[in-house]
Amino acid sequence: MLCPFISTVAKFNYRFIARSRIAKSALVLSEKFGSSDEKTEVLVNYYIGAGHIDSYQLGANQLRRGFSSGLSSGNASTAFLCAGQWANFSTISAEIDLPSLLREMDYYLHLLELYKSELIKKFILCYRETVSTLIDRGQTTAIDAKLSYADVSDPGRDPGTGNKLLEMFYFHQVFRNYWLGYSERCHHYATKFFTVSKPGHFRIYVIKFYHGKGLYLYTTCALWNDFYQGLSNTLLFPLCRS
Amino acid sequence: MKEVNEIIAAMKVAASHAESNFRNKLELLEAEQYGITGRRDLALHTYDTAIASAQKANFIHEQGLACEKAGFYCKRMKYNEKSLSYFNQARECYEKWGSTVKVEFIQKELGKLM
Repeated sequence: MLCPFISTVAKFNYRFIARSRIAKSALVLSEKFGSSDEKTEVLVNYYIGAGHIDSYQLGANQLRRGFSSGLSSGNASTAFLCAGQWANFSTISAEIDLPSLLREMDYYLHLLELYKSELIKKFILCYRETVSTLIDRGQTTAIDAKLSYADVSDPGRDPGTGNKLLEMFYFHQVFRNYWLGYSERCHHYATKFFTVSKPGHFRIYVIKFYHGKGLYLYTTCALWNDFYQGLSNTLLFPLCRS
Repeated sequence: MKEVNEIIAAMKVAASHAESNFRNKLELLEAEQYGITGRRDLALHTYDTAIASAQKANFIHEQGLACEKAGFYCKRMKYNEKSLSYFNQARECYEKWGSTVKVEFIQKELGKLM
């Protein structure tokens, strides 16, 4: 009982160093004394709270195992939380190649359908769309089920869950648009992401990276536009007038 | 540029906590910064370190991205051979990652250079 409690304390601690230390202690304790049921819970709390400190690939692997042990011990809801977090780590770290990632996501989506876990299904659908877009813009890999803005921005939704989904929605828009080369859209969604994201989470740094990379393109284009505008105002228009 | 500087400062904080996940990202942002401010040698060196860090962290997609950006930088500087080599590396990385979109994009750039 103690380990899941400690790991929950860690998850909600916004002081990053303290949070990671507490979470790591909970993980070590659960490895030594915890049941497999407890371990899954600690694992998911650890990776949600402080997983960005360890290698993402290592985290994705651990979460995959957490999913299996959670499901086999009958703790399906925590197992699917592991799956949701796995999708995140695996996508941002390119732990496996995109087609394999898509196949694994489809397997989880199939299970989520059976267990009727709607929230995590929405999370995985969003990741699936990103992966499919990165493979071939969804031309041969897309499925009908998608997560739209209307699904995540419903004002009647519980504020906590609604914000999480909206944050994730913006996260994916930044990620996808950056990789597809749409720097203005990337900038737009990054700004939106920062308005809804909670401080202290490392996902913010991932978005900051893509935002920063997109800004180089965005500002360079804007500077060239200004330059040509200035050039045409000072040189070309007077010539045209004369 | 002020916004980019703030992002680089934030990335330094992230890299100090999670070296393996954020070192390559920080270096890539710095390389772009050096390139824009005209520090050619430093830019090229930092692109190479960003590529090496991404490889060390097994981030094949970000290794590809660093190669792609280095390729574009060399193309702007008219270092065509270097640019070709970076774009070829980027294509290999994106092929391993499984992104047809990015492979096709790099293929077009290679076509323009050849």
